[in-house]
Parts: sequence; structure tokens; C-alpha cells
Amino acid sequence: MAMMSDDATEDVALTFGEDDLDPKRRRLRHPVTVVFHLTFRILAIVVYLLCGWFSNSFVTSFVVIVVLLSIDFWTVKNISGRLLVGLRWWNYVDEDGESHWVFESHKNKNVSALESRVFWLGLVITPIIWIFLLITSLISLKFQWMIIVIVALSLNSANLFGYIKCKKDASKKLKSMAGNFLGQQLLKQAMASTEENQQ
Amino acid sequence: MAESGEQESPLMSVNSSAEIDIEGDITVPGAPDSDDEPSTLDEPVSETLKRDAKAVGKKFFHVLWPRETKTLLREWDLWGPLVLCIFLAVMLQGSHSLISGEAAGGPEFAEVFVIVWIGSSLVTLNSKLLGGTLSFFQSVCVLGYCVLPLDMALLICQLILLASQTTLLFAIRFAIVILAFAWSTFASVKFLGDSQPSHRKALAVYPIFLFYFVISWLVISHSS
Repeated sequence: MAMMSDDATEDVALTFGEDDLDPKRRRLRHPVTVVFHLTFRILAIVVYLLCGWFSNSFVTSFVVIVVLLSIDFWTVKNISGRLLVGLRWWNYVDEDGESHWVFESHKNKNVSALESRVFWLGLVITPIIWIFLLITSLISLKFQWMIIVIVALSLNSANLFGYIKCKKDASKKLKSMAGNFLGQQLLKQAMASTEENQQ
Repeated sequence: MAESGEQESPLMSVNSSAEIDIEGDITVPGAPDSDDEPSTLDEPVSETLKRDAKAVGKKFFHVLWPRETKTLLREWDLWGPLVLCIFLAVMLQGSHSLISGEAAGGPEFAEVFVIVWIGSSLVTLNSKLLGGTLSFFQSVCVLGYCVLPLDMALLICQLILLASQTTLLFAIRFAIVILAFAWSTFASVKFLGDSQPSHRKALAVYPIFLFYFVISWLVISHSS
């Protein structure tokens, strides 16, 4: 958990005092995307919890929840990630049938701090809720319902881990970029400190 | 940029040892602007939606008309398999359970789901173990899309079942399911066959045959 929350707040770590100059960073710039980012995953959980009230058909609830979860998966993977935080992960298969996972990040994207916080919170909290529901369905021996929870967990955590990888990639890229630009001075320091370390 | 290779190792080591976190936007007047290159990270939502929908439609078409072997394999997705699987499970369940919802109907519905997803994963695992040059999801994607003929057969059978049943009508249903079964197997073997070395092809095809056989059995034995 410590790592996850780290990721969530990393966006606001160092802003070079641009915050005051650029008030846009504090505002929601893609309100519709934010709504859609949260809607489907919250709806899936709500339907799972309340479906006993308005329908006693397992089949209907199953179909509704799985469809909601897959729409959410697609939305978060393809839309809200790249619009809200400028990250995207995907997979392609090369000529030899080898599968490659690509973790992209936008090079110079102004990410709104609020948006990125909402994005990461939504991404992290829902799998935690599903883990809790997995335990309750296991204890109450509702194995049919467990299938739904397992589908939910695998879809939600796939997105979570994809974006954590993206985030790590992005900060690595920024570090090496910054390194290149800061140039000689830092290089000398680096050499000195590594020599010190070695001694 | 040529120097970056030499610089990288000491710099990375100082970053990791001294934990200097550097973040933010860096704009240097002379530096090449990365926004020049077209990136799909900036494309509008409608374009993403259109592209993905088109890819799914294309795959459905290729299953019905299996001639080009590469297109279905290039970019995999699991939308088609999901839709086909839900359709299969709901139809086999019978539409009455969708409204009235007996609790007893539950496991059967879940069974179809488990058969399709675990089944296709196992067939894929088998072909991977045989040394097929194919990624896991690619193969699951192809196997899932190739259920389409059987879904169509189920739909036609359901229509035939509306009439009063005779032996002739059963024979027609049987023929339709056999045809769909052959079609599914043929299409998936056409897409997946190339990835196997030729002397092991039969070993890889046999589980595919069994997979579609079980689904066909579910379709033909469904008569309510």
C-alpha cells in the first residue's frame, strides 16, 4: 500500500512553482472523462451489492456486472488514463508471436493535480473493495458470486498494475531526460559521489 | 543524444544512491519538440472508439470468411469472445430465467462461462507447451471469436424449436450444428495452424476439436 499511495501523490512532488502561475492545474479539465472513469467501476460494485433487492436472477446480475466491468476496463485502459494522467499501457504481438507490453507516457503533458488524484484513487480503491467482497463471498460459500468477484478483480487489477508500470516508466524517463539536460555539472558530482561510494 | 549512453550509468547510480527525485516539465528552446511526432495519446475519444469497434467487426467477418490468416492474429481483443460467450450462456439458459430467475438456474449459466474461458485457456496452454509460436491472449482471442458459427447455429436451432418437433426437424438441427462445428474448427485451425510445427499439428488440433465438440454438444442437447 505504501507504494501505491506514493504513486498517487508523486504527481505533485515537484512543480517548479508553476502552480500559482497556472491555475488550470488545480481544476478539472476533463470533467466528462473523470465521471466516466468512476461511473462504471462504482456502478459494478453497487449492482453487485444491491442486485438482491431488485432482481433475484443470478443470470441477469452476472451479465450486467460483467458488461459494466468490461466497459470500465476499456474506458480506463484506452480513454481516461491517457486523458487524465497522460499514461497508457497496451500489448502487441510481433512476427514471432512474442507478446510485448508497452507502457507509454506523454512527454510534456500538463496533468491537473486534482484529476490525477481522482484517477489514482479510483484505480486503487475499487480493487480493495473487491478483495473485501471476495473474502465475504468465500466465507458465505457463495461460489457463483465468487466468479463475478474474480472477474472484477482480474480486470481491475490488470489496469492498476498496467498504470503503476506506466508511472514507473514515466518517472524513469523524466529522470534520464533531466539528467541529460543538467549535463556536465551533475555528471561531475555524480562521478565524485560514485568514487566516494566506491572508496 | 549520442553521449547519453555514456552518461547514463553514473547518473542513474547517483539517482538511486542519493534518491534525487526530479520531476516536472522541461522545455528547452533548442530541444526538438516531441509533439511534432503524431501520437495516439492525444487522439479524440471518438477515434479510439471507432478504431476498436472496427477491429472487432473485422475479426467477426474474418471468422465467417476465413482466408487471411494474419489479420485476426495481429491485434487481439476479448470483446468478441465476451459477447459470444454471454450470448451462448444466456440462450442456453433459456430466456425465462432472465426474468423469473430461479436460483437453480445459476450454476448452469456459470458452467457455460467456465467451459468457454477455462476451455480456451487450456487449449492455448496445450499449444504453447507443444512449442507453438503464439502469445497466450492471441490464441484465446482466436478461439473465442471462432465460437461465432456455433452461436449462429444456436440461434437458428432456437427458431426451429419454436415449431412442433418432428424427427425431420431434429435432423435439420443436427445438420446445422455439425456444419457450425466444422466451420468453427476449420476457421480456428486455419488461424492457429501455422503457428505449430507441422509434425505436431494433429496434437494441437485435437484439443481444439474437443473444445468445439463440447460446445456443439451443449447446443444440440439444448431443447426446451
